[in-house]
Order: sequence, then C-alpha cells, then structure tokens
Amino acid sequence: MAALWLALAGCAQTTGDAMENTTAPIRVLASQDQCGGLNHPAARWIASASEWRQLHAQVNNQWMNPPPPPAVDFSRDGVLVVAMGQRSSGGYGLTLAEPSASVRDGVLTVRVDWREAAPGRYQTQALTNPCLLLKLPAVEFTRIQVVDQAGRVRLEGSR
Amino acid sequence: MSFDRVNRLFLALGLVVLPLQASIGEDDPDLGSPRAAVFDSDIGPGNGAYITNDAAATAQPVPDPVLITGYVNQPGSGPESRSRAVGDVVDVYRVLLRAGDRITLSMAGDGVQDDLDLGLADLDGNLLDASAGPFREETLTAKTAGDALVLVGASRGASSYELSIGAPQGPVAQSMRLSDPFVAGEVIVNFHQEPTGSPNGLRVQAQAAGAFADRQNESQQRNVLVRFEDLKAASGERTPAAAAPAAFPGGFAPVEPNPRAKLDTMYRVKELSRNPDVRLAGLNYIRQIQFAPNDPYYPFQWHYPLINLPQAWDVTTGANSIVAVIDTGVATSHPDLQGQLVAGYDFIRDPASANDGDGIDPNPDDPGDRFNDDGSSSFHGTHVTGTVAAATNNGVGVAGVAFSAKVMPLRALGVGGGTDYDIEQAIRYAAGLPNDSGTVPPRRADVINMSLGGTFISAVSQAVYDQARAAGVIIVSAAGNQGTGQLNYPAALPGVIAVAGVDLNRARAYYSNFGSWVDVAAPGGDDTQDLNNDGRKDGVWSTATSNRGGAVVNDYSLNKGTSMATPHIAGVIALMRAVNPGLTPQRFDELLTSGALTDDLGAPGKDDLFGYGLINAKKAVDAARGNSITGSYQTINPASSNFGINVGTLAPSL
Repeated sequence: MAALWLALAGCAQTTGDAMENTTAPIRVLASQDQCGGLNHPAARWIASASEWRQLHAQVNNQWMNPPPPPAVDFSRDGVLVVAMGQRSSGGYGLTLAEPSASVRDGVLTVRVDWREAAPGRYQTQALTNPCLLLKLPAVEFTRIQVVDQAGRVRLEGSR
Repeated sequence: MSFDRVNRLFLALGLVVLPLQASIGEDDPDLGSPRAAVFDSDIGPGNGAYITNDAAATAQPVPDPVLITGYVNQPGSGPESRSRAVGDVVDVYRVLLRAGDRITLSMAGDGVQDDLDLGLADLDGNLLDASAGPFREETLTAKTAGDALVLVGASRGASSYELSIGAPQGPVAQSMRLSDPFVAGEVIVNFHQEPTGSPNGLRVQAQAAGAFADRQNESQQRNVLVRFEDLKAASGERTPAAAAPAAFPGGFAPVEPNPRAKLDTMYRVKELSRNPDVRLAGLNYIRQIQFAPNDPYYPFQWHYPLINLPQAWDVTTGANSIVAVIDTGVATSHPDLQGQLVAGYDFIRDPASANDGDGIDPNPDDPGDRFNDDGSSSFHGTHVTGTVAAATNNGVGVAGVAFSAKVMPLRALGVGGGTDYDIEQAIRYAAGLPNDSGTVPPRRADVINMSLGGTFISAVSQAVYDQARAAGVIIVSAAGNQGTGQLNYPAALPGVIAVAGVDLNRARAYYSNFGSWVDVAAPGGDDTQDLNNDGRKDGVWSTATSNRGGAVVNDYSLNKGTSMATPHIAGVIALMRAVNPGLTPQRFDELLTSGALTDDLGAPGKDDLFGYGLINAKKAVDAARGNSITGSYQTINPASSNFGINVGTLAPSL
C-alpha cells in the first residue's frame, strides 16, 4: 500500500533527509515557442487550479482555438513555468533535459536544453517567447533554479 | 506590327494618320501570345479588294487572338479619302471569343474631337456592352465564350485605330462602360462659374429644373445632379440641353430598356462634356459596399483595413500571380490553404535539419522545426502563407491579402534555421533559374517572400538576388526584430525590398529595426495590447499549425514581427502583378519611391523608420493599373534607396 501511495503521489523519492537529496519526476505539459505574455525570463511555481487556468489561457492566447489546460491535481502536484523571455526570431527553444528534478537544500533544480539561434544561420523573423510547462509533485522547496546543458544557471525563482 | 508600319501604309493610301502614343502590337513586350495581324477590310490594303464591314450582316471574320488595324470616320471628317464624304462610321468584326478575352481599342485621335467607341454585340447586332469614354483607349472584357460582333465606331471626327483581341494583357483602361453600375438618366455636372446665359444653355435649363434650388447662397461651386427627365420637363418648347445622339455609331443599341437608357446617358455625358456651360460631367456611379469576406475570423484581421485592402479587392484579388514563400515549408493539410498552392520544393540538404528523413525533395510539407514532437515547432511558413493567400470568402478561418493568387512553398528553414546555400537554391527555383533540384517550376514566381533574416551576409550572396531580379522577380524580406538599427539580411541587400513593421496605430512596432535601408512598412502586429477592444491581442492573424501532443493540429493564430509585415507587401505586389503582368522590379521601385504605393508616415518622404511609408493596397493597385497609361512619376534617386543593383555597398562587416 505504501508503494502504491508513493506512485500516486508522483513518485517523489527521498534519498536522504526530507529537505535534501530529493528527486521528483517531471511530466512535460507543454513546450511552446510562443507563450503569450511570458516576455521576460522567469521560473515560476503554480500551486492552484485557478492560477493554472489563468496562466494556461494567457500562454495560449495566440490561438484562435486554444487547447484545454491539462488536468493537474494541485492537492499533490504543481506546475513549474520555465520562460525564456521574448526573443527577436525563431531558433530559440527549451527542452527538458532530464526527466526528474532534484531538491537539495531547499532548491528545486530542473535541467533543460536552452537553445539559442545558431550563429550563421538564417532564422524566421517572428518574435518568439519559448516556455516549458512542467508538472511536478508538490515536494518541499523554497527556491527554483533552471540549469542549462552546460551547467549554467539560467533562471532562478522562489516558491 | 509596329505602328510606324501602319502609318506608312495609311500614308500610301493618302490617309493622314495621327500618331498613336501608346502603341500596341506584336512588337510590344507585354504581348506574350502571337496575334494574327489583320486589316480593316473596307480600307482596302493587305488582302487586296475593298470589302464592306459596316453591318452585322457584313461583319468581317477575324481570328482570336488578333491585332486589327483600321480606320473609321463620320461623314465629312478626316483627310481626303474614299470614305470622307459618305463616312465609314463603323467597322464590324465577327470573332469566336473566349471567356475573359480582353478587347482593347487604341485610337490615334484625341478621344474627344476625334473620338472612337468600342462595342460588343450578338450576331444580330444587339449591343451587349460598350466602352465610350472621352479617352484614347477603350477596353471591354468578354464575359462568356461564343461568336460575337466587335464594333469600332466613330462617334465624332475620324481616326485610325488598332484593335486587339485576346488574353488580358496589361491594365484595364479608364472609361465609361455600359456594363458599369450607374444610374440611367442622371449626370453629375460641375458647371463653370460664369454661365453663358443662353436660353438653351444647360445651366439656365438646369436652374429652371430646380437643380440649384437648395444652394442659392453658396459661394463655392459644387457638383450638381442633373436629371434628364427634369431637364426635359423644364425646357418647355425649347430644345433640351444635352439632347444627344442616344445610340452607338451605326445605330447599334441594346434590346432591353434599362441598358438603352444607360447607353443614352453615356452619350449625353459625352455631349455635356463639350457644353460651354460645363467644366466636367460624369456618370452617377452606384457604389457597392466594399467586399467583406465571410471568413469568420476576418473581423479580427485589423491589419487589412489598415492598408486599404478591401478597397483594392474591389479591383483585383490577385488572380494569376504566384508568390514564392521561402520559409519552413507549409502545412499542406491546412483547410484554409486548400487550392491556394502550386507545387513547391524542399531545399534543405541536411537531413537532420530537414527533419523529414532526407535531403532536398519535391515535398514542401512542413514536418516541424524541432526534433521532438512537443508542440514547439513554429510552422512559421504556414502563418506567412496564410497572410499571402489564405482561401477567402469560403466561410472558413481567415482571409489572405491576394487570395486569388497562388503560393509556391519553398522549404529552406528547418531545425536550427537555414543556410545561404539552401536559400539560394530556393530563390533560383522560384525565379525559374537552374538549381540543385534539377528542375524549374512551370511558371516562375512573380514575388519572393522571405520572412527570414540574419545579421550576417556573404559577399557571394548578392549575385543570386541580382539574377532573380533580372529574371523579373520582386523580392521582399523582413527588416528584423531587434528594435535597433541593426542591419538585417537579406533585407538590407540592394535589390531586396526591406519591410518594417507597424502596429494598429500605424506607429513603428517596438521591435521593428530601422535605418536608411528600410524601404516600406506594413502591419507586423503587437500582441501586448488590444487597442481596438476586439477581445484579442493586436497581432497578425493567419493560418497556423501546432504539433502539440505529437499530432498535427491546424488552427489560426496571431503572431508579431517583421515576418508578418513582409507577406502583406508580397501580397500587395501580387495584386499589382494581377492588374499589370508587365510590372518589373524596376518599375515597382519607381512607383514606391514616387510615393504612389504608400501613405507617408514619420518624417516627410523617406525615413529610417517606415521607408517610403505604410503600404496602401488600393493606391498600389491603382498605380499598377495606371502606370502604362500615365507613365509620369517622380524621378527616383537610386542612392537613397537600396533597390538598385550595384547601388550602395554591403555591410562593413564583409
């Protein structure tokens, strides 16, 4: 029964102290190169259904027929918004690099591939504002950091 | 045949021929298909004997297409000749027309004192349409296929002429046509300030008819609506002013009463134009509400009224034009692009970038520009394509700028963007030049849209743009979105039209690059505001696709950027090409620099933010239609523009 509860809770696993060495599986809810209104780099934690509906509507306001917000049970999960901010062209994007996040010393760390427009290549000339919408178990943490493929901290936020 | 040869021929016959200023004929580069050269049979030469062709029963058979040289005169008019005394009032030609054929009459006379009219009649001589303006060129279009009579009549004086029948070539001339919508029996008149005082003068009679009753104390002259019924009633026993001949020369007339009344009105306008009381006279045209597409999302496309596009649609929707879109490809499954595409190509050589498992291939379908099917592919080319030519008035989705034009989708941007070499192949293909595909399209593109860019350029790249332009293709490209003076290529190259972006208020979009290399502005949108309170942000709406969840979803979306501004310009150029297929890149540049295509914004004249200003689709179409008639525009200064090949220099970074 304990194992089943762990699975239902999103498989958060603690490898040591409750506030340290925790890993949490991540599910990608959306990955878009156009995220309406997310014009500044940010890492933001969404903890309520109403906030999630509002954000999802804003992020998809470029669509005439936006998709419905994926279901999230906020009694056990939350949504991490990773926004690259507005960019002047295509060629930018975010992809989840590791399927789980780690929590150490109260810091939730998510690893992503942070793609910039490749130098020397022509790009589409529509503005973009890439983002990732990630569902994670509502593990305990106080700060967020988003690390790129080179180990560089790209974004920081707080809960 | 050149008109000089015709002149020599007429001179040999003892006829004085007035010079044609706007000659047409086999030598004209705008005339693509060969046209048989035929002479009016009642002037004698060419086929020998004189054969009358003055009536339906004696109509002269001619082929289609054809270029006919002839002469008509009213009795007593024109130089000494066989027909001077008795007149040769009308020439009648019998021809098997194709639907859409253009019939163009160009006369040597001035169109006023020596004035010829053009008619189209059935085989019984019942007039179906007529073009009878005070101009030197008259044009009609065959609405249906079949045997018909084409009539050339001398309504006043005498003149030689050339009559061309065949596929549409060049712009339609301004004139009065029977098929135009106008009110029969009414004329709008602008009188001279000082009346002649003659009791038979129009002003006196119009005054008696009450035409001035409501404007006794007005100091400034304004147009007067003259109704012939009122004029007739007020004239009493006097001869009514504007009692004009009410029929086409030779007595050809329509069967139905309303067309007869309309024809009568047309000839009264001609008569009134020569009345000493009258400064100007014209028909009272019936204006329709401008075409408004029934596409459900058209009301959100604020960016079309901003450039006067609905007014342009009343003239043309871009038929027969082709716009090559060099981009990420296109979602060929999109319902609002069905029937809007011609065959394209995929020029991405690197299979990894192409994301479709191979290198270059004939399939321009966009598989996405991300490796993973996570919904983050841009499908940018689909948005651009929809702005150029989304299916319109089909009750679905959005409208496109030139929706009767076709898009040639050419894929050159894939995962990570695109390379010079792949883009060069796409340009060459669009222009009908040899390229790595080993093939060329059946017909080259009229315009190339490049909603792409980079801040770098290779010195070897200029040549391909020069070659495409030399092939007759107009190239437009995005000015870039850094919001700075950063040069963006290829837009900043000579020979490429650089397009800046504006918002709903016609202000420079905050992201739009600027500099002396910017040529023109168009709506690029701004999705941070909803200034028109339509419940949607003020981006540019167009066709869109997503691969969220791994499945292709066709929809509509708003985007912003000079990528979105550029296809507005490409679409307008397609409209211009539709009304003037002979429009060259050089002529387009001349028209743009003259201010004939734009509404000036910012500092007067050309400036760094908007170039020559915001594109105005109606002005652009009118300029394209008129350019072969008027031919008078400002002289350009190539040094102030980046259009000219070999004008200016590339970036210092080279």
